[in-house]
Amino acid sequence: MTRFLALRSVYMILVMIGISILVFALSRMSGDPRYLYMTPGTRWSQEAWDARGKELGLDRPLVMQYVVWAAGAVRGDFGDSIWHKRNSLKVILERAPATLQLSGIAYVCAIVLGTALGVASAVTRGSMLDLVVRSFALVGQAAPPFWIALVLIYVFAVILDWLPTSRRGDWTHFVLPVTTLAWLASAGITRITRSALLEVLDSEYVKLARAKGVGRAKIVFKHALKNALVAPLTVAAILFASFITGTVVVEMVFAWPGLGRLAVEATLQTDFPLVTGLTVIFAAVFLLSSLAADLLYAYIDPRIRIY
Amino acid sequence: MLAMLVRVWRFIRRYPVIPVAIVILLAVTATFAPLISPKHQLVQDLSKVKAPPFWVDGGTTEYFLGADHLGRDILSRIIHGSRISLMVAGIVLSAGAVIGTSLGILAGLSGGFWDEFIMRMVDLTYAVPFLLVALVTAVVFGASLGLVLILLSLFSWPGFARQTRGLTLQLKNTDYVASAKIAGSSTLRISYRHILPGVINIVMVLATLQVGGLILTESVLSFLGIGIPAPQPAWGSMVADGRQFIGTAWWVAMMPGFAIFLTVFAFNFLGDWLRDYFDPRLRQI
Repeated sequence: MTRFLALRSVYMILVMIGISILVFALSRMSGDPRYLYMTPGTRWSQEAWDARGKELGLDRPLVMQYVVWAAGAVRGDFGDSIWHKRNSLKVILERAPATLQLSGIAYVCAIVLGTALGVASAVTRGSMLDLVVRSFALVGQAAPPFWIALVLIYVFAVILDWLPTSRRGDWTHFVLPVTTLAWLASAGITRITRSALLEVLDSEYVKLARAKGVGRAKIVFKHALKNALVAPLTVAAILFASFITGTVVVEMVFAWPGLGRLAVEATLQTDFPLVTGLTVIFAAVFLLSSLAADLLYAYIDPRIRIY
Repeated sequence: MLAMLVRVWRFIRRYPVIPVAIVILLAVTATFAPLISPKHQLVQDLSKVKAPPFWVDGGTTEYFLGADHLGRDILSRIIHGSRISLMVAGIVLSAGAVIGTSLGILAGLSGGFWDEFIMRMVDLTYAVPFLLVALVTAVVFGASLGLVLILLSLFSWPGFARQTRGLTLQLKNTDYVASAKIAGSSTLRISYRHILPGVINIVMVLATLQVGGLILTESVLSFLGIGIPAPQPAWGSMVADGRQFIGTAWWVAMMPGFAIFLTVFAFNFLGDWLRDYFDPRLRQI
């Protein structure tokens, strides 16, 4: 297990370095960073231009520029945001709680809902309930997130006028964004839980238990579920990836003042330090969560500890 | 009569009739878009701004699904949008499938360094958060159709590479590959004569399964303003246009969104069906 952990961590650091090189290269490809700080229509004197270059470290070789940038990034310093005129990390940290709150609640809802529906539909295979659950999952997988959000807004805010459509506030502000995110995320979990449980219910040891006269509830919850939940568990960890996309879209639609919205705004304002900072931080979170998923998987299912 | 209905129902349950119908319809609208669409997709008529669809009060069949905030015919824009969506999916999948399959066969056949290298690249691609890279590149190069194609292609090959490699490893040890080797076939010949026919089925199934996801991703990019640039009628940006009028003219956002949903639904369904049909053992992919 230690060896597994060590290998995975080293690998993760290598990937992180790869991503940082990619982001750095892209940011340099956009042209001289000094242009970003210039007010359009103005000119700088040659001295001011050179001085600014020295200040930003542009007189050094590209490799050194990367090292300096990466060293800053490790300490959480991505440079000042061009739009907000403040340290990028500060701007990011101010917006983080909104996203963590929203995605945290949606994440829990998605996992609980997804497994519950998956189990319910597998146990009642072929029934009306099964059909409804499967349709729910199919719609969740096929509908674009922004469209689900808009349909919910139209029904519950425009027609029924029950819920607010945007920004943060009391619990009513959470209902629609959380529903959107949780619906999308739980669709995959539902389908995988269902097929995994159906497969286990068809296995020899379940047949044996049934032959011995074990009750149906006990078979499902005590014998089958333990094995069946391994698959959705890994998916739940990988879900983080789709959550990044999901939060960006949902925050845009519901005017939620979080990181996803910040990322899109920074993009549209060509605010480079902020975009690179967000990308690096999101990538780190993403890699850490997939590492956690692998460890969890290896811990639960010893058969895959092959490293 | 009843027996007839039962037979039709059984046929529909057994074969993906409705998804296939939707896909064929899309293929037709995408191919013949300029001939079919009732109006020009970019022409604005300011007297028809936000005209409702024909079944809503005040709607006319002239603007079948209504008009958007600039008075452009929504149906025509959806028809032309299907062109963009299918073109993106087609080009990206061809690129992804060719690159992924070639690299997968190469990795499986050669083993050693190249195998390790290619598979690590696969892992790396999976580890990169796509949307953020898309945001960064959109800042650098500006949103364009070419950029969307390149980005999506770069992220669509790993699935193909991983599956093909696994299959190649199995096929490599079959007797017919061994005999071909003894008969003096080159590695290149073995890969396209003997390995490729064995993996092509799975490549096709995988491609169908990916269409839906690709169309969704492209629509998200266009929705966020970093995909196909305006005024081209991409479905995602059409929804984005209609977003602010959801209270007064719901059809502007709802219609293109529904088109995305139907398309993705049809392709997902078809992909699932093909997978089960060709090989039920592939259920995990």
